[in-house]
Amino acid sequence: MIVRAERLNKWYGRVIALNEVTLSIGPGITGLLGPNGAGKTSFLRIVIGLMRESGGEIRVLGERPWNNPGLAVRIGYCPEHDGFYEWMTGREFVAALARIRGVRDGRAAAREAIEAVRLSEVADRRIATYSRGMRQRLKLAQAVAHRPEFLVLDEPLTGCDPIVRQELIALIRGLAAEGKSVLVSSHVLHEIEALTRTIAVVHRGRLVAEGEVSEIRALIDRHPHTVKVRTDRPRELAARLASDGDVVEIRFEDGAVWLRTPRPDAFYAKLPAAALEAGAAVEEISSPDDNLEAVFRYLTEA
Amino acid sequence: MAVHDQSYAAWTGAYTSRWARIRAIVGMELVQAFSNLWLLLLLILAFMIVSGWLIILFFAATQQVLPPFAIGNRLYRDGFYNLGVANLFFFSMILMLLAATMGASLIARDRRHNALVMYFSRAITRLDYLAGKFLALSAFLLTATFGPGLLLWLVVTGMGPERLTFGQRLGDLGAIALHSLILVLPVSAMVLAFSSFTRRTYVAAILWVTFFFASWIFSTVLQGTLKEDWPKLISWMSLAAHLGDLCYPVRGLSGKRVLDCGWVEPFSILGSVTVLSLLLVWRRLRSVEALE
Amino acid sequence: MLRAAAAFAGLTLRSLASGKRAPAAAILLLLPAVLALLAATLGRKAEAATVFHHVVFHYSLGFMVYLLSIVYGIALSSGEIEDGTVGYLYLGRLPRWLIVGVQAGVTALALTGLVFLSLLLTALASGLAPGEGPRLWRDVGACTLVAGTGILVALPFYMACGLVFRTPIGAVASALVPTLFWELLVTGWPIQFAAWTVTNNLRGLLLVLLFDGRPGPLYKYVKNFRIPGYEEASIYLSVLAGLFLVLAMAAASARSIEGKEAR
Repeated sequence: MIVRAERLNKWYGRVIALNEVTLSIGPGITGLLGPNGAGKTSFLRIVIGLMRESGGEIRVLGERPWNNPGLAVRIGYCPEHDGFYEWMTGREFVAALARIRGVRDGRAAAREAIEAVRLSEVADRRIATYSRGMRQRLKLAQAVAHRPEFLVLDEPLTGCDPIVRQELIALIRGLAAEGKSVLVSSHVLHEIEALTRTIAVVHRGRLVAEGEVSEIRALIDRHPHTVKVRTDRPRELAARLASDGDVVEIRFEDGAVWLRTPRPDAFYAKLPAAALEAGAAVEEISSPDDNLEAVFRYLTEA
Repeated sequence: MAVHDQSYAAWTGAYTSRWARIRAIVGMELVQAFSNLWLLLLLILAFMIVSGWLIILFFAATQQVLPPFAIGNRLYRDGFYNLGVANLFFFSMILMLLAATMGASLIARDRRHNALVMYFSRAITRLDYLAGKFLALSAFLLTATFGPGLLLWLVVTGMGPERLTFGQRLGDLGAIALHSLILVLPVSAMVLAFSSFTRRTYVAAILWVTFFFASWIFSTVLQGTLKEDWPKLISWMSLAAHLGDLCYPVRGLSGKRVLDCGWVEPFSILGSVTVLSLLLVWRRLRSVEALE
Repeated sequence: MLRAAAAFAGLTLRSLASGKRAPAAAILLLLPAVLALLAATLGRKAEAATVFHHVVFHYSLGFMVYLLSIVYGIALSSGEIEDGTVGYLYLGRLPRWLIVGVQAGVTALALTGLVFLSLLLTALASGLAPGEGPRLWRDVGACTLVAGTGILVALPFYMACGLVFRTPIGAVASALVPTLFWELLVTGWPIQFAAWTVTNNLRGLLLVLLFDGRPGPLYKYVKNFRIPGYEEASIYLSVLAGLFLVLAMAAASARSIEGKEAR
């Protein structure tokens, strides 16, 4: 096991960030999924030894992470928030940190890492001039420069445009293919899906689920969905859809109808035909339940 | 797919007055200041000095002793606002610390969090912003200067040995108010100027502290080496103390003045520093892009 | 580990000159020379050696040493935490206590070097006044030694303040309050406690190294207490420096870096 957490707790004053979290993380890429404020960053900071747990036990690569420099050099950390020596160039920054981690030839290590994250063109510019995507890549570069065994990436794709996002996803998968273990956190399900099949879901400091992504996806589809359809003939459309038992609740509002269905796949399949039969022009279809927050609600209520 | 009307629709609601917006900025800063433990402790320290005098006056009254420091209005001047040794005034130092802790963050924090763009993209002018910050800091510092002074005035009214007329008591109260303003307004302007120089609150605080003490040290060293009196005019503390001292009507034993000059020189120096500081902040605020 | 420590020392040295703290430090270091220049050129009664002694006594040792140490002490501790760069340092090869030790050592040495330059400029500026000037290398060297001792005591204390308190401004407030009230006020009071201030102990060292044991008019404020002798002051300051350094190291080892999510 790469990480073994046993009844881990962390509180800040009266705020409980982590509540009895028991989790084991193995080799490969593991996603840590949760909405903002779920406790992902707190967990990651405890894993890398920046923060001390308030209770419980944690082992990373078989050792306690708190105040353990010997373990720290085996881990690469990409923080969520930016923190740079802005007066340095990207290359100097990565080289300096590589040397602090005990790498003999810091410059060579920096060159390799910068090439791997495709930052060579701007590596000799001051960090203060970097864009958001460049900063993310720089953080990744310093995390891999000293060739750690275990990478901890805290929301590495946040704020990146789609092109940078794709590049970083490919990079992270490449690092895992080299044999590194990666723990990556995010609040966006499809980002995690693009990286890995193995995820752990946290919500309000608790571990609510762990397993394969496909199981989480099935949960989204299994739990009752609320769908809003904006149309010129809401009552006629609702009458058509309610006739065959796929709809358990209907509510009308001005120019729209809210429907609740336990079988969203079947419902969506029937909707076009029902609209045609009712002669209803459908302007908009939306669902507040087709997202992660709904999954968390479902999981925690279950 | 629903397509929504993207054409511009003018705001038809009512705006509040400019004064209401300035008040909002002041209120926001004061709420933060009064919820800071350090600032509250320093405020309590300022009030504790008054409590000390309360006890001393009480004993003097019970023993029917006439303490010389309580005669005339010396208690306010030498006993409180200008209490100190070698022109190092205790109360000025408390005020300096309060200004450094609360005032240094007023503009520096907004710069650090890129909030200036947010402010000026609303119906808030640079002048409103500057007025709001200046008034907030001045109001807070006045709590620490006029508040204890008012309490001391009440204590002296109730337990002081002198029999004074209503007019004389009101005159003392007016002098306390004026002294407080003299202590507070130039400090507020200077601290805002330092706060606008940097994104880091602690650097602004240290710059202000450096200026405050450097002026005193320069004055002390130049007096000691040149053996002349004019270096006293360099000390910020002495200028404010002297000008404040002059606010009080002279009754009985007036005690030694801080400086051997009138009000013109100290007022000119403090006044011009205040105005220049505010102008400097104003200039820096005019170019938000450069600041960011 | 040695390589990592050397790399970290280099990084610390480079970061001393970054940001707004460098201009703030430059102002602090140039002010005594400006003050000496003013004193030397504006007065007819000023003597060169007197100007130098006054500036060093009141400004360099009584004020500049503390402000310089606060600027860098807070920057190295609380400033790094606020910037988010401390995470990179604590995830390196060096244990936290060694990080603090390297930071304190490198910074103290660098600041002492800068103070030497400042004092040299001050001595040269003082020399413009009439009369016998300071004994350039001997007096500047002696004052640098004393100032360096002051920095070695003050810097770890302020680093400890920065590591114990959550925010930089809280750290500055906690650093300034004891400094101002203990070092600036109590130092000049006619009470026994005054002998225990760092400033009076530094002045005790200065008395031997600069004034050859002869207290002149600058020491007239000493009433009801005795300025500590050379040995006494050395021991006291060494103990304080060690204590504050251990305090800073312990604070770093115990400090949880909780980040923005904890606020």
